[in-house]
Amino acid sequence: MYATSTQKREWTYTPEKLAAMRMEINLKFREKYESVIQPEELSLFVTPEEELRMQRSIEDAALRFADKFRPHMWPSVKWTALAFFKRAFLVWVPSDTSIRMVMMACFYLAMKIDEFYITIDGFVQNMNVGDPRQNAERILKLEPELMKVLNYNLTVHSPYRPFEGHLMDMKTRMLLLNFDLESIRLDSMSFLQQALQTDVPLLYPPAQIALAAINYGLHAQGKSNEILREFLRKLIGIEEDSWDARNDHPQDLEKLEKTVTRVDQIMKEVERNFVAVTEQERENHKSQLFRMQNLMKELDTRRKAAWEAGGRIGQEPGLVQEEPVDSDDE
Amino acid sequence: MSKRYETIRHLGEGQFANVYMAKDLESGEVVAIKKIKLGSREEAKDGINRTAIREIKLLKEIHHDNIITLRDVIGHRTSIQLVFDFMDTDLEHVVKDQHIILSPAHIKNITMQTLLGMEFLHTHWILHRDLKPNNLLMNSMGRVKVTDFGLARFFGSPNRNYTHQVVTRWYRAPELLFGARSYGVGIDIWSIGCIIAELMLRNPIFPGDSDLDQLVKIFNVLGCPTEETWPQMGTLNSFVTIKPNNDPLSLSFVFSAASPDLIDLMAGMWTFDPVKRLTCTQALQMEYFRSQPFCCLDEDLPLPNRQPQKRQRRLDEDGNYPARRILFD
Amino acid sequence: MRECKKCKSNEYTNKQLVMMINECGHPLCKNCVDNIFALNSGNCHVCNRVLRKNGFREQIYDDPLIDKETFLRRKLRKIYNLKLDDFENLKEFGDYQERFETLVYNLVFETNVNETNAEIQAFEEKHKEKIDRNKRRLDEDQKWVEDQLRDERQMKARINEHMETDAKEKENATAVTDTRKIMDELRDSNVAAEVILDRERKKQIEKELEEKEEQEKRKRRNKEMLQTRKRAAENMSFNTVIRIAGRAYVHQPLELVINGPPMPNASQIESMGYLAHIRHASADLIAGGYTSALGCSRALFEARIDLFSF
Repeated sequence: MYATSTQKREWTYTPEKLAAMRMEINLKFREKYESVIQPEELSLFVTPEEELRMQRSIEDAALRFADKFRPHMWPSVKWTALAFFKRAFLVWVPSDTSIRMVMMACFYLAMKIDEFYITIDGFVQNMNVGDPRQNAERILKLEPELMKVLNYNLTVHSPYRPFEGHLMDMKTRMLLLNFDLESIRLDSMSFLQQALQTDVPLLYPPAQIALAAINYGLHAQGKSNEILREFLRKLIGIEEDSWDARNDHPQDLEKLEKTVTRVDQIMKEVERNFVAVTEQERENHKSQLFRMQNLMKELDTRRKAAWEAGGRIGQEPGLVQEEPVDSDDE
Repeated sequence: MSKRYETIRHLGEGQFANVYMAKDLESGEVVAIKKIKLGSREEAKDGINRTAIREIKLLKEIHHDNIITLRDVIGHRTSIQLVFDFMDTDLEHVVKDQHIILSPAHIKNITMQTLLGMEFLHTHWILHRDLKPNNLLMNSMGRVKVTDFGLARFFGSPNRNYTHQVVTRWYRAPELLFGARSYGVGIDIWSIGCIIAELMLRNPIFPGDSDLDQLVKIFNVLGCPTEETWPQMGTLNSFVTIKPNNDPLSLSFVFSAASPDLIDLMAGMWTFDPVKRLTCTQALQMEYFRSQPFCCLDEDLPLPNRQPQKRQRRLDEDGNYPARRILFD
Repeated sequence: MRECKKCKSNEYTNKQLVMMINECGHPLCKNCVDNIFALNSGNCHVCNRVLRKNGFREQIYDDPLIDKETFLRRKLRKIYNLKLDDFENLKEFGDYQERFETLVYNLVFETNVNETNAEIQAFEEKHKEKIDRNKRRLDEDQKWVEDQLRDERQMKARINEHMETDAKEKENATAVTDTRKIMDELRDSNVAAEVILDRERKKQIEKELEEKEEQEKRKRRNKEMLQTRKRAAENMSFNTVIRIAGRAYVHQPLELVINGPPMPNASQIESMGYLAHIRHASADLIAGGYTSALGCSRALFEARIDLFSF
């Protein structure tokens, strides 16, 4: 369950922390190549904000990939894949990886996690770029690296089941509502789709995200926050606006208020931070990544040359030092 | 092994992993390391084995005294190593060791520990789906831990179909044998019942050599379920009517040494209708645990004398590998 | 795993959990003790007895009954401290010991407390002289133990001294030889003095760097270990079972802390009408053990977990 999960403990942050982490990895990445970069190439090293936009570009493409995927992909698989993607790029830097393949690997891993059975061949058939066998090879190569950067925390709690739970609760307890709650479903789902393209999955518990989706759906049908408050009152067990409630159970009222505030907060977060990727941006990012990849190869060659020239002091750049594990490896 | 762990010896080989005994150089404790090979001949086609992924994904999230602890996962270019607590033996060895006598107090202790671990698992919406004596490990302090989460999964989703080819046949519940595509905690409880029986009889109680034979063996002891006792059983996918060879045996006749409250417990665990079968919580609240003889101390549980031998892969009577190989879920 | 019944924190939510226990034998964590007994006296949260804050001592054994017993036994032994030679014969001594056991039992399980206390008081008054005399007398066994401890301490001190002097001598020796070597070199070789000194300086710097690296590595390792231990402590789901051998086991169903609105139980799920809003499970699903109440339950559960986590 979420409360004792690695998701809560290890992969939930505040917006400030996220910004700091992204800045840190961006700086470290630049430092690595400082010594060998030419001034005109510096422009290719982008800011953390630009890198985040690149991630959003890929996420946008990923969601379209997910919708076209056959057999039909479950929503929780989508959420898990994007959660992996977001987590990975708090450690990796987009410019330093082949970011599209990472996204594919995230999907493939998410399917295994969620018990959505598909073979690698069935998976790569859904990819319309590249040679299937090469794609398969690259994804399978990325799989263990991805698991490692995720620190093997593979269980992701998505808001879809909590959403169904809240909806059921509402239908059951709010009998005076002369309004078909099913009508909010489409809007709520589109809210969650937007939330997937922000930092929300890294910031809030899924039960709260689900409640925000419900509230968004209600607003879209012209309803006010009053329904949300009434619902929470029924859930918590507060009698309607009585003096007793205010005196006897102040903690309950506090919980109600805090929940409503939190729901508003999440809705605002999505509203402010979901900025759809434009066609222009997509093109820019594509060419940026392409040029970056070529530059990286060049820079790595230069770093190695510098290392050799300097007398091979220290570790060879780019070489991963690994101990042989045991006799099976020889 | 990486610098932190120093291999002591090889313990055995599983389907996709090698198990070693090692010493954690930082804490001095003895651990068991399951080394999963990447790019091995078996099932490498689809990447990292799903069984390994299941173990990692679940064990990283849950922690309980009676569930094996995944201490660490170490990624390497050629393998992934799962580091577990070292457990000296398992219940299969205890049962098979002729020199060991299991007293009622021992059996109560083992049953209680197993049920506590499983209660925890079920409360977290996880089914184990492969309970058998082999997967109940015991250490020198007498702590019993559930292990091998290669078939475990979350349950409770209305839209998902699960495979019925789970659990080693001898411990498989009748609804699975009848091909149920949706099931619940009952399948684990049935397995626990079979394990308790095996602790008493020192032999598996329902050693079927095919799915059909398995049902026959079950019905020969427990009698046949009826529409009254198990409503709608006829709607199950592979339902067949079987005529038993004899009238149902009374459990107190089969388990002559068992106390009446233990018989009650087992009858509850072997209820045909999975909805009416005991849950872990209900089982732990039965009179059996409140009455004499009381549970023994963990340390008093008997250990086999010899070192556990290299783990053989247990073949069915058919000579086939256990059903876990077939995975379509 | 220990848990404070009052605040529900356990060894894993609070790594520094220290359980305290008082004379009534009902354990309480140190934080609760400080809170409830801030004014030095208060009531036990289980039996309501009036207790003093300084009557609390750290709980050593997992079973509070054992702590209670050892405490009472020690207390009583201060009064019932008669030795074998205070009695006429072995049988009388044995009877005395047996009586002692019965008294302890009474106090631990709180049967016939008044009579027991009365008897103890009477005994104390009657044998006051003997008790006082025995207080001062250390019997043979204790003397022997003290001698052994003293010897061991002295031996350890001597060994430490040796080791320290050895280490110091070695250090001085190498330092001396090193500087002597350098001086010899300076005097004898043809290489410029600056070069030699420069080289030595470089060596010194390298050595310092190495040491610093070692320190860093050690610090990092310690930090990692602390982190992993902290993580292990934090990630226990809430469960405490007290399994006591030799006693009837009364099971408390595992209750997970939801941090959200209360969860309807199985009968409420049915009676409140939830099942109308979930896909009805077909006959073959129910026959297999999956009911719609099950799916409903899980959705409702997940909708509540940490809903009130702010």
